[in-house]
Amino acid sequence: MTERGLRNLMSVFLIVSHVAILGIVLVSFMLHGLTETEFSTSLGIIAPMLATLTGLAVSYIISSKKRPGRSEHSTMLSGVYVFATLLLPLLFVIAVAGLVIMKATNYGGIAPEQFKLALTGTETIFGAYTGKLLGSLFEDARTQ
Amino acid sequence: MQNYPSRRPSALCWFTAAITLFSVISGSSAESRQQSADWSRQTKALMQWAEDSKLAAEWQFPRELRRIDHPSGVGEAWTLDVRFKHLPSEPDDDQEIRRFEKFMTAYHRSQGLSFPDKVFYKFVQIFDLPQEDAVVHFHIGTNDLAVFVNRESGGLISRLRKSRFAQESASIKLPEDLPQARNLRATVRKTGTTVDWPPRIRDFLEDYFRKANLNARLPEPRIVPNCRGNHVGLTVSGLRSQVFTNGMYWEKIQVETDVWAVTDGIQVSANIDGSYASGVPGFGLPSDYPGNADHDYPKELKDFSNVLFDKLTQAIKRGTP
Repeated sequence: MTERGLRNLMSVFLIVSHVAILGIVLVSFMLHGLTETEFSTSLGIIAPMLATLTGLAVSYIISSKKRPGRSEHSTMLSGVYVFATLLLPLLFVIAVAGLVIMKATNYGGIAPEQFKLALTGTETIFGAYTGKLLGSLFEDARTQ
Repeated sequence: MQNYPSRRPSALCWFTAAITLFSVISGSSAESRQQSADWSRQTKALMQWAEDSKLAAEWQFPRELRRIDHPSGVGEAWTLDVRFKHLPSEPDDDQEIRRFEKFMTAYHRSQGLSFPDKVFYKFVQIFDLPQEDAVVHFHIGTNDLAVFVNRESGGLISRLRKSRFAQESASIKLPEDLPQARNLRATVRKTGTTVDWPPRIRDFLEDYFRKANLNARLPEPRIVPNCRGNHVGLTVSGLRSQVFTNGMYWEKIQVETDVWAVTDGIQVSANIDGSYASGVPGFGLPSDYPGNADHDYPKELKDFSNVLFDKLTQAIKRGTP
């Protein structure tokens, strides 16, 4: 996969995920799957991390406003880099969305305090790796 | 062909098992009787201490303890609910709080220590409870001052917030024209106790909550009874549309009722507490009900308590609980 192709894919994925997760939190709250306190706590934990990652994608999209010419070269990426760059953000998004859905439906008897800890833990575990990978992918584009 | 010994238990085995079972049953019932007797003795001791300390004029001490969630959110604790007596001349909550503050200042000046701390330590001393397993709630108007030990630091904490705990009491004069009621009242007068009423009240409350869920097409609520003597305690979880009439959240209601005989009828008192948890209906039930503060919950709980207690007293008057 080329670098440009991966950047395009990830930027679309991040923006869609951002909207989807916020949508899930909002719908859960509206269906009383989250109390007001849980809703504000969830947003407080999820929104900054998502905004940081999506911010990288949005910056890339702004910088590539013009369609690249045919002659513009895009480097091929190693398989392991593509795999990690796709897998970690995907797991991160699935984990956050899954936790919110689990809490809203009381699946697995997840208590509010456990929910908060699980969200924070997920952000810490996946957020660091995902941020690093996406940073390397998008920062290079901005410096080029 | 080899003959194996029979595997059926011998008469001696049955006899030993029966003796063991009997000793276990009699032991556990003796233990529960002992605990019940101990609580009443200790409650009397606490009331006596309040009388001797001239606190009874301003404070109302309970007849029973409650077993509820510890304020720290971890585990449960024995809870003593002490209520600052309401004066009809004080319709305003602020006036009651000012009187409470004056009382606190005067107590501290005369005794040299904080009143809530004194009651807490007296409570654990008389009831012989571990400090981490005890909480005292002081109810002043619509405020709740909870005093408990921080399980990590071991220090005593006082936490003030709006009370979500409702207390109801009524003296019910039983009508003469109802044969059933007359019989029941006769029982009360004759025996001096109200042995017939607690199971009826329990049945009424259980039926009330079951019907509420049935009407809302919800699964049966989880009911955990805590009944002994004239005390009926029920913790009911998995409810909806009780305190929050719009059915926003899953709810847990704890009702503690005491009934005793008075001259021309019975006296019923009820302490009603509640909490709630989020959850989309049609899916799983919550494992914990931590909510207790949002949406004017204390006020809504008070309204619910009025309705429930009114229905209970009406049913008692009809002789049909």
